[in-house]
Formats: sequence, C-alpha cells, structure tokens
Amino acid sequence: MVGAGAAGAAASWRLSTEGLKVVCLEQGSRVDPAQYPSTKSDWELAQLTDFSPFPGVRQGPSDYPIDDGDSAIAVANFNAVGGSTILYSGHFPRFHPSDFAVATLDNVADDWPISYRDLEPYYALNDKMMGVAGLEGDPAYPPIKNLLPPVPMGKVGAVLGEGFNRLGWHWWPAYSAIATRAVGHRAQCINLGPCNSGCSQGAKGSVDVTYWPIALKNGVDLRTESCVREIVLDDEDSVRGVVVIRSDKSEYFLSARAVVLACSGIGTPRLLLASTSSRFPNGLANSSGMVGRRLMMHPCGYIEGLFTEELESHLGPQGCVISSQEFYESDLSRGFVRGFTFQVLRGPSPVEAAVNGVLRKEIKWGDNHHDDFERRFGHIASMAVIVEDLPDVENCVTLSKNQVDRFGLPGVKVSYKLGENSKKMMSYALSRGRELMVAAGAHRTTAFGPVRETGWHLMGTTRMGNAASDSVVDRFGRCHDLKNLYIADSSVFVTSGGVNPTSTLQALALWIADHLREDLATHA
Amino acid sequence: MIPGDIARGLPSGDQIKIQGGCIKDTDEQTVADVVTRIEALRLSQSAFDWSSVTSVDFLSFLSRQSSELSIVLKEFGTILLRAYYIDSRVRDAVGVGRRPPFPLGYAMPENDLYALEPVYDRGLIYREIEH
Repeated sequence: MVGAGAAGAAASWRLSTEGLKVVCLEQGSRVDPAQYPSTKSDWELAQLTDFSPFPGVRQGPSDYPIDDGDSAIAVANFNAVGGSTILYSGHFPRFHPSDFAVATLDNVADDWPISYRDLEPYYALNDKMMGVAGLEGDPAYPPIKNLLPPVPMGKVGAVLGEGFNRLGWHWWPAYSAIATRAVGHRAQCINLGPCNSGCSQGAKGSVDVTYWPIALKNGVDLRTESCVREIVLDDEDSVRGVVVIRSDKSEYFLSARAVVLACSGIGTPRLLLASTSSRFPNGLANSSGMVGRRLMMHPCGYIEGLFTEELESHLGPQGCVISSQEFYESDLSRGFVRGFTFQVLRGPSPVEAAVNGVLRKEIKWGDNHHDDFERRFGHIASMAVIVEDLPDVENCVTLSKNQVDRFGLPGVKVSYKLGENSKKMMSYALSRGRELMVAAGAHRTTAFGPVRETGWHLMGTTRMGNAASDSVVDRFGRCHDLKNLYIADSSVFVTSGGVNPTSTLQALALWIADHLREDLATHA
Repeated sequence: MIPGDIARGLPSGDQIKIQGGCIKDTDEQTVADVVTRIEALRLSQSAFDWSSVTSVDFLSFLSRQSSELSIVLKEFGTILLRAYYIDSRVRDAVGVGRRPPFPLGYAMPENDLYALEPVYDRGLIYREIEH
C-alpha cells in the first residue's frame, strides 16, 4: 500500500482482516495530536504556516512541489499518516445513485462501471468505521442507517433552516465524520471549533484515529517517512514490488504480490508518470493516455449573510452544520446540467472576521473598531457551494520539468480550467445562496466564487472504466495494463459528483480491497 | 489604530506584542518597507504638525499617497489584526476563550428536528437508478 491517508488506511485495514501481510508506505510522518494547533490560542496562524493545507506554503520535508500556477484552483493536501483527513472538516455525504450514471441520465461524461447499489454496503461499513453523525430519513438519499446523533446545528443552523423552509428548499443536518457521542476510544465532540487544524480531542474522524489503530493491531506494517521512488516490473505484465527511499535517502527494494496506490489524485498519477521505462515510455498503466487526465477539483464558492441577531456562529465543528441538496439533480431549465450542494458552515474565527471586515471596510480602524467587530463576529452565517465538475481531458496533472522534491523526484504541474457548465452552475448557485440568506433574515449578503484556495478534492486522474482504451483501471481498481497493480483512491473517480469525496473514495477503497483479496486467493 | 475598551475588557492595539507567528517570512520585508516609507514621508512633510494627527488620520493620509503604499499598508494592517485577535486577553473578551477549554468545551442548544418536517413531507428528491 502506498499512502496512509483516507483510502490507504481503509484498504490496509480491510486487507488485514483476512490475515494478509500488508506493508503501508507513507512518505509523511505521524503527527502527534497533542501538537495540533487547535490546542493553542494562535491556531489560526498555524493554518498560515506549518499546518497550511497548501504544500507550497508548508514546504514540509514530505511535500513535493506542485506548480498550480496554470490552475484556477490551488491544490490543497497534507502528507502524513492520516493524509488530508488530518485537516479536513469531516464532511461525509455520499454520492447519489444518479452520480454513477450521468451519461445515461444526462448525456454528459461517462457512466461509472459500478453503481450506488454496488457500493452501498461499503458506504455502510465505512460509516461505521469512521463514526458518521447525521439523521436518518433524508429525502435526498436512499436510506442511510446507523448514524450517530447529528452535530449541533446551533443558532446559525436553526436560523438558516428557517430560511430554507421559507423558500421550500431541501435542507438536512450535515453528514459528518464527527463523534457526537463517545465511539470506542474516541471522545465526544465538545464543539471547540477548529477542526481544520487537526482535532486534538480525536472526535473528528481522521483515519489516524479511526482505521489506523485497528489496522496496526491487525498487524499492518506501517512505515513512515518512506517515499516510493519506483514501481518495479517483472518480464511479464506484472509488478514485483517497489523501491523505497528512507528519510536518510538510503533505498531498499520491497517485494510484493500486489501493489496498491493510494496517493491521491495528484500523487498517484505522479508516481505512474514518473515510472517510465523502454516498455512504458509514457509511464506505467498509461496505454490509454489517461493517466493524469480528467482532473476534477470541485469549484467552490462562498456566500455570507450578516445578521442583526447574535448567531453564535463561531461555536461548533467548523465545517459541519447543515447541507442542502435542493439543486443536486439535473434540471436543464436552470441553464446547466448536473448540480451542486450547499453546505452551511460556522462563521469566521476572530482573526478571519477582523481581517475580512477591515479589508471590506465594514470594520474601521480607530474609535468604532470594537463596535464594528461586535456587529460582525458571531453574526455571520457562511455557506459553501460545491459544484459538480465535469471531466475534461485538458485538465491534467503532468510531471514538472524543472521542480524536484528533496529526493530528486519530479514535482507536478497542474493545468485546470473551469468548464462553461461549471461557470453557469456557480453563478446560479451564488444567486440562490444570496436568496437563502435574505430569506433567513440577513441584512447584508456577499457571494463570491470560484475561490482559488479550495483544491482539496482531487479526482479522476486514473479513471475507472470497462475499456482499456479510455480508462486506467477496471471496476475493481485493477490496472488494465498490469494485472497486480491497483489504484484505490479518488484518482479512479469517473465523475466528481457534487459532494465531498471522502465517503465515496473510502467506500471504493474497501470495495477494491475486497476484490484484491479475491484475486490473491484465486492466484495463490 | 485599535483603542482599548475597559468596559469590554479589551486592551489597546499598542499593548499587544506582535508575535513571530503573525509575520510570515515574506511579511518581514513588508514591515521593513512600511517603516522605511513612513519615515521618508514624515521627513518630506516636515512642516506638518504630526502631534495633532490621530493614528487613524495618519493611516488615511498614508493610504492616499500611492496605490502601492496602500497595498503594503493593507498587508501591515493584516499583521496587526492577527496579532491583536490571537492575544489571549482579546480572545477571552470576545468570548472564544483560551484553547483548549477542556473538558467542558462549548455548550450548544439541542437541535430542533421538528423544523425538518416540511422537508420530510415533500418526499424523496433523489433519482433512483435501476441497474
């Protein structure tokens, strides 16, 4: 297993439950939860430096160069045991059944070679492992059961919920990988807030506190600060193992019956493209030419409403309040195909409220500063919009020609533009978002998007498909070109859906791990 | 630029120490630039009675000098705001307290799930797919 993030953790655990010997190689290190910025009063500043989601800002020893200057969205990630789940909000919505059949239903992109029904038991298993809070009975989904109690919506959720009701729009408590009551060794969330700089308490379901403790107990050999340089082939169409670089730059060969890549929608194509040879001059598993192509990143916009009443919007889990999927399914009368999700967030933190207020001239320097601040802080409702991103082969990850990491391995260049459909959808969503804020009672609204610094969702760069001519892996995550090389992360997504991908990518990782187990048993 | 407010328990901006974390590497140059430029401006306007000018008036005056200086001042202002609003006295006063407030955290009101009845009553809104 290459990568110990959301997908690598889930797949490693699943493989370990049947007694398979699993070695997981993670280029990052373990992060001690006691050192997360959320334990300190200056946690907002740490998000600008060592705990920034942007590798170019962080520049940690395990980060590789990502040139996203040619991308409308900046790439965000975190390289460590737990991967980007260390810094994510814990949003855990599933894809809809329609997301797997967009060509059939809406005549765009491609259908997935698997369905929601195929993944449903894996979604349920993953929810149990991650500890997902929510509320049963959501009319936007097939039944989802065995959820923890929903996160507290707080005053801000109640006020916006009323707004949604006035407009007759769907809304529902957010699906959140947050322990709203004690789960195993994880304590109950106590509404501290800064989930996006790591949850020291362990209430947020990052995989370092969900899958990894059990996987390690099952015997998975997790090797940190271990960077995979190369995937090694035999004379047939199989892989023999990988070459690993330790932090002291020494190398060794690790033999494996199968290799699974779980390095994200950027890291996985990077490794494949860098693994060139006379047999595979364009990189491994790339006979289709699709490795690195069809990058999808979910354009994201924000809507804010300023309310006279105190909403206490700064309290509670940072990202998770309620969501709305009123506009998720296609309706061509809106001027675009497919749809989007609204996610109500908590309001800005003190620094963010002050800086944004001053920059927008809504908080003044001098005598009125504190009055202006008081009118804003805790009075702002924030809402994100996640727009479904249709695949485009021109949106891609390629190897950098001039940037290398500390081992001399190439960095990546990301080229990404928003499609016309996404632009129309974003514009429509921002307008609807402002309507919602007004309906909820806001006396001032702001809407903007796409926002550049939002590239968490990295999908589609080694797409799944039935045909080797236009896809990289089959429906079980097995590379068409190499029979024992698997990909188990969001690279294999065929389309992006209009929701956060973690729930789906982990369900896929479990599905792929189960079929890998069967393959290994068959060929034992 | 930020006055104190005894009633709210807020210190003034000049009582705040700017910690290293507020200033990213690139910002150190910004601070140096601002100080140099302000001093040059002050010297060039030697006939002006600076003693009668408030810090806010002075900031406004500086902002009008050039768009480039205005941008630099915005960055400088951001540094000052970061320093001020991470100060534990300020955070206590605005109600977010020191981190982490273990083991109590923050109490939040119970969810009123009856508010979801209109949503539930509308029925299913997803498209079911037969495979």
